[in-house]
Amino acid sequence: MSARAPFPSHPHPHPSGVVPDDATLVAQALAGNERAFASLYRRYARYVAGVAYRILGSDAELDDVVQEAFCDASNALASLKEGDSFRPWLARITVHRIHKRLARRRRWRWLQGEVTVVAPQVSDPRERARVDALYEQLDTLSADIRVPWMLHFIEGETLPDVARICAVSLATAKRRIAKATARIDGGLHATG
Amino acid sequence: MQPDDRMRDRSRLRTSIAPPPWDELREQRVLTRILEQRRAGQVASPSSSRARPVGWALAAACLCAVVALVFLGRGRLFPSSGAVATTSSPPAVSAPASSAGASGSTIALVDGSQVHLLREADVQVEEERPKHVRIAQSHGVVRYEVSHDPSREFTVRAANTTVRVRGTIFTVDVRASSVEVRVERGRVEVDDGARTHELVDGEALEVPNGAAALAAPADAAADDSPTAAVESAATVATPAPAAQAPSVAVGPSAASLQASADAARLSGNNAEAAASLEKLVRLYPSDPRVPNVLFTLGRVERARGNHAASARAFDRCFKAAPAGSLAEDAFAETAVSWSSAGRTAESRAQAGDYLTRWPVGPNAARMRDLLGP
Repeated sequence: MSARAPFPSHPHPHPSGVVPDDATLVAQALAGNERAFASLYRRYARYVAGVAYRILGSDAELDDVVQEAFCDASNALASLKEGDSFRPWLARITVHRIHKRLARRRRWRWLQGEVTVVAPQVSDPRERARVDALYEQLDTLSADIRVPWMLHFIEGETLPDVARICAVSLATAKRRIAKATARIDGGLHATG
Repeated sequence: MQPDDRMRDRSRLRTSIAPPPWDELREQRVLTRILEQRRAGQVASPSSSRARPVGWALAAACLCAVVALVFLGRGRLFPSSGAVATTSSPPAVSAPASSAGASGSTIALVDGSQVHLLREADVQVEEERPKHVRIAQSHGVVRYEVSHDPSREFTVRAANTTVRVRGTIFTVDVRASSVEVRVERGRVEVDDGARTHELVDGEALEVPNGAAALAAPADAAADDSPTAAVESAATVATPAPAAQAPSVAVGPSAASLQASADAARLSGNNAEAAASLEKLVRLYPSDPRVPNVLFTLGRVERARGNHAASARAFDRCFKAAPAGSLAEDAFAETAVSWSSAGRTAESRAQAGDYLTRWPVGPNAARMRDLLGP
């Protein structure tokens, strides 16, 4: 899924050669070490950008979403109980930001009466129509059901992880995914 | 479709979506903004709780106003751009350079074309129909990626210049005294009001105050080649003496060089990336991207194992913007690269200098390691 990174994910390893784990970096960042926070950022910025890109379907807001997610994370770092769970915690923050963006997009479209569909680039041009059709259906869904569906089927998260990231119960996550699936399949079937 | 087929279908869809267009330069740019916010204390200060009541009051007032406007004048105040067949005047989108986050944003058009607002950009989508898209650019630098559609006319109006395309990538830079059009790929037609010029890959045209001054590759050969045709048109259209014509850099635009470098790095071709970055700095030494580009060059050279070249690039980055957001990191990376190059004396001098300038800076521990016991 991901392109080969042009540089190592942790470009400034400690002189000893030991790459610190997330918990260590979180602790150092909490103590005011800016470099530790920057290391966390470099480790996960591409992950956050990927999730945002695929769910939003566009790179126009990517910089802002990544910035907002990491600013929120910086702000709330003290509330993170276990440093090891930084990635799912960050995913939750990212999803929260994406929710806001999708809601804003829907509001703006309603005001403008706009029907523009945004879809991401495809690896294989032959898949262009299918991906466009999918995002056309996704754009008809509310963020509440769109995001869990994307996390499960496109991001490959397990159902319990989807529930955790979306901050809902497992039953709710399953129900929302099922609802989205029915709407997407119905829409795709109707449009051929 | 059976459930198993659907699962396979979704799995295939997952792999069909391309990776995010996220590169080192973009990563660095966003990190710089985040760290600036952290240093300014904006991130840490929980202003939201105090500002919330005021914010809610403002939001409520705005909502009331918007609802009233929508019901009183929907269609007039918010003309629809989605109703493709009837759209005549979609809203303006502008991105002044001072607006954080707005510069670098993209407008996605219905036909798949993308309008990238690069710097101080101010554009208005005047018309967006299946057979005709018309954009007015009044200021700044904008890069257009126009999807190929021979049946649709796509025009960009900038001052007295009109650019017509079918499918291409080009940049329009509207300045106080001129409009510059640069073509990265494809073919465009530029109408300066007096003449029509055709530009192809790599060519650029500057139109100052109604007269056209042309920059095209100097090695145009045959008279019937596209380049020669453009040169000929320019000769006719430029009555002003050459000495008075504004100088135009020959070659690819800064944006296209940056894009080439990003693409080369993503494909692992660091030599080509370094060449593109160097070329960008050489052709556009006063471009605001230069410090970022030099920092990236330092890392590219390091990835290539050229540690001395890396040190020099980081040093140039620092000198290009000694008070910039990358200055401190560039200074430290210079010391690290000198060390990797085996130039211990330079490395130690640089590390010592760093500790004098930033005794408790984020790189202080690394610099002390370089100085040794």
